[in-house]
Amino acid sequence: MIDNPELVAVVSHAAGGPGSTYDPADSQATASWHRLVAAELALIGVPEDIGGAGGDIDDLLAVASAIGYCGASFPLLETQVGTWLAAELGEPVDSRITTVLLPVESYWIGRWVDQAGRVFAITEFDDGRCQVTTVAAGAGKTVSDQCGEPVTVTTTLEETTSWRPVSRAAVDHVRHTLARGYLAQCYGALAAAVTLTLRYASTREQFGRSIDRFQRVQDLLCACVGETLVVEALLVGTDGGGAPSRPGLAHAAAAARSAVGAAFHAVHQVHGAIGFTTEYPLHHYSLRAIAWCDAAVLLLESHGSQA
Amino acid sequence: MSGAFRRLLDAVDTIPAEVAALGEQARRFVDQQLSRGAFTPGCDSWHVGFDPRFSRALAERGWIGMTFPTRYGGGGRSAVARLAIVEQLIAAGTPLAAHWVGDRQVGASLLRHGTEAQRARLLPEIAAGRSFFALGMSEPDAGSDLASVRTKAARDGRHWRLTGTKVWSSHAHRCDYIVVLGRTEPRAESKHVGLTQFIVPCHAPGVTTRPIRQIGGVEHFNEVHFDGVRLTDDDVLGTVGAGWTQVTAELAYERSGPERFMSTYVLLSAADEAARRAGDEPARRAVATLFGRISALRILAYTVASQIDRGEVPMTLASIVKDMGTTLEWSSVHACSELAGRADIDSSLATLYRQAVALSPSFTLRGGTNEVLRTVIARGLSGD
Repeated sequence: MIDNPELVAVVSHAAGGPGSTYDPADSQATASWHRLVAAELALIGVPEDIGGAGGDIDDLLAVASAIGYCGASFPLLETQVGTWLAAELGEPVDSRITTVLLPVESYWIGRWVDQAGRVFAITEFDDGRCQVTTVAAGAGKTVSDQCGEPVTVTTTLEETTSWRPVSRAAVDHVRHTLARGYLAQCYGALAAAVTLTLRYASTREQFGRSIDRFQRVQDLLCACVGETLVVEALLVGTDGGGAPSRPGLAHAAAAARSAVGAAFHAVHQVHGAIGFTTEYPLHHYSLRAIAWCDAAVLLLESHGSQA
Repeated sequence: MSGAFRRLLDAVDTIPAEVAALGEQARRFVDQQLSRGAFTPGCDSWHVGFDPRFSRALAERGWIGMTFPTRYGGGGRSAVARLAIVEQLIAAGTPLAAHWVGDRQVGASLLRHGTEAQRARLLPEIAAGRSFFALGMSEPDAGSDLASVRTKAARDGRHWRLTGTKVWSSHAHRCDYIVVLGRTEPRAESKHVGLTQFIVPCHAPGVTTRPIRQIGGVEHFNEVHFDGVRLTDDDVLGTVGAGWTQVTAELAYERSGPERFMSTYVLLSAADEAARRAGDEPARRAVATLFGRISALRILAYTVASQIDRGEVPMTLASIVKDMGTTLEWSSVHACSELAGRADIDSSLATLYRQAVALSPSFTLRGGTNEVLRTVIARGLSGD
């Protein structure tokens, strides 16, 4: 079990309603961020004795799936992981928004870079060495992904400190934790989308009965539920429970993309036109599920190919 | 969140720690058997590979009847432990068909519904790999609508007389017993009432089998005729008239195992190896997607096994695993078609592919069609 109703209630209260998205120019969004920080959620995974909120990967994933279930976009996961890295480097542990630019193929990629108060960038060498620096925001290209979260891609960096060594283990932890965190957010968002879909299908009537009585709609509901279970199982399994004698990560990435795509199709197909509008909340969850799945897959595939 | 949906999500858990060591034992056994040439890896071998010698080798290691109590010759182990061994055997394409039905289904039925005499007589024979079972359920006019079976068992003094025809009875021509679902009371308001299960010796007078050849040339299906076969009360499994309840209770056991999503594992392994050697990244990604999905279904299968070990009956989750797993098996065959087409015609990959194509229509039909499964799932989702 990953999700936690009490935690969902705390996160939901702090983050605001579905679709809440962090924006420093929006007073309500910044108030939500401060509530998340006040609830000590921004420093989960950072040891308590150095100023963090403590907790382990399971706690971090529980928070991630809760924020996904709320359909909200905040730099919570990035700050948790970025601050963990800061602690590893002996840097100050505080609750400013922190994020990490990770190397993927020939560029760096990161989320919430322009909103962050601290940005780390990592470089990996062919001989296994890794280095880290802090960089200024603003370099590269920032676009909004499918759910409106800012993603920065850059081939150049403006370092604000010197490059210094960082352990391979720390870099793997950052990449792996971010990937699993995005997958947990995706899972939470899917669970919310499917909950909405099951409820809609049981109340929406056509031809004199609720649409969940029609076999073809039942097919779609089975797909919704089944694919969400697959994503949950992949999340549980990225801790090493791969297929017999097969590694977990690279395969989890490929399977996640397929499962989330199928679920995305099914939830929208059940809802019909109303689900396709901004007047109905489905898109807050469905688009986030796809966006976070893509973010996880990008990191998992590059990690898996190096395994 | 709907109660039924939440219960499904809440149930999913990590694979138990004991699995790794058991899996390692099974892999070593498989490697030894391969090096001796004891079997040729094949798709769907758990279903089509009937090899009593291989079954007895497994029995000698205590790997048949693992979940039976030790006083009946079993291992006294959990469903999780059985799964840890079986998934390795299926992944390697080993021949398990001879003992499969007895081990997976009939043993559990005997433990739930059988008399002490039946358990004492039959369970040790199953666990020793000496007694093999077939199933007599479907009929020419009763497939998905199984409760409409017409095979009848009528009282004849102190005996029963069984008359009717069953189809799709795998390996009945080589088994010792066939477990038959028949009508013992006239069809009443509910067709589910008045059905009874019988344990019928396959060589009893009045039992005749006719092989039914599948596409691809395999013959393990049979049409089995019962012409006034004389049975006693000792041949009744469970309660007269309660056959339907007994049969449906077995379904969670037989729906969620690795045989429902790993029948084509040897094909995928061969395809992965071929794609790797050819440096074919798109093909490797396609196969990786399927392996990843198998990983997920594996976790769900262990979740079901753990629930069974706790005495629960996870019908909805088991049906989901079977629906998704068999669909994966079907699509895995076609995902390998291009790679197989480029391979040498007598290569392992090409041979396994041809074998799998001929087997693939059965994946989503057997043990309950996927269409029926989705009705079961939908019903389970609406239960709050």
